[in-house]
Amino acid sequence: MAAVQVDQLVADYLQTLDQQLSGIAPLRRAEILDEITQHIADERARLGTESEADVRNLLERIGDPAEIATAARDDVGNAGQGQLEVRRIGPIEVLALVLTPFIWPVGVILLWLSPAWRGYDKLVGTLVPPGGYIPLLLVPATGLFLLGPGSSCGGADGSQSCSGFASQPIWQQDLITVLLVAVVALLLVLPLLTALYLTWRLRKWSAQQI
Amino acid sequence: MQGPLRHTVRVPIEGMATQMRKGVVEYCVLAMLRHASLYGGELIQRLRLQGGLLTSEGTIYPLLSRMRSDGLVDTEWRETEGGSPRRYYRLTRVGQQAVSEFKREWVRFRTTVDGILELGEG
Repeated sequence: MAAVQVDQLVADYLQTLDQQLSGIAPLRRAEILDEITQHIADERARLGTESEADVRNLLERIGDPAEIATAARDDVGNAGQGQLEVRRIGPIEVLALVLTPFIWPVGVILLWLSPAWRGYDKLVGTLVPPGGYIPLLLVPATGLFLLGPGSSCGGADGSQSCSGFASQPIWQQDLITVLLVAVVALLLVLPLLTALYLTWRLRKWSAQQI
Repeated sequence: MQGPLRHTVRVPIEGMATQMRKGVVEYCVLAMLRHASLYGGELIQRLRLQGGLLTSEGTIYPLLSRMRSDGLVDTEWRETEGGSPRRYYRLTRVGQQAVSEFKREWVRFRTTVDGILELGEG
């Protein structure tokens, strides 16, 4: 039998299988069809030179498409109705992602309301860092407190006298400055990293649909 | 005069075997994944060697798909030599627990049934 005709035999089988799988959730249907297509390709490659009988025998071993579709439906039935729900990324998930860094309390509530993230992910979203970008607003006040409004140097008679932050040794001033910059950098980056992590987890959850 | 009472009962042996297979094949697949990640074709080969657990090879894929959505296994794509990437199945922690529980339950079940069958023979 010509290779083209053998290919047609396989194509007909897969088309019948696709039809028989109608009614199964699209992603699950595509997954089953992809896997069986791959399985047929592997087995055909293993056969090397193939006759019509070889391919018919292979398809027979894989099974009647109706039987495979029945198995798929039975399995869905066994899995329970709840797991039939398609995992769609909805407004709650999108708002949770956007609001967690900016309007932290609202974002976190949505994060915990959504079934898309596991408990661990929700903890990460809540605790790293607590408050999203809100603590960033406290940085100017902290800086002002450390530097102090009266932090200045001067002296009318030529002698240099300093008060407040400026009266600290230079190395302490540098250390505090470096720490402040580091805290600001962390406060800027961590909410972004958390949002990226939650997005990655969300995509993974969404991809694991039936 | 009335003859000996005879019952003709058709034993649905094939249906029974199918039901038994359906009940255990999932756990056999999970058990096969305990030590290594495998792709569908490899699982089929191993089940084929064990004999009789799969009525048709293609039915393993709906089963794997459902096991994945149940969180018993997860998957990763791996490149293969000279071939297209394959979806490898690996056991999750939930899957490991399921195998352990099944093993305990199976030993108890088998012991009970063996005991009853031996009693019947005795």
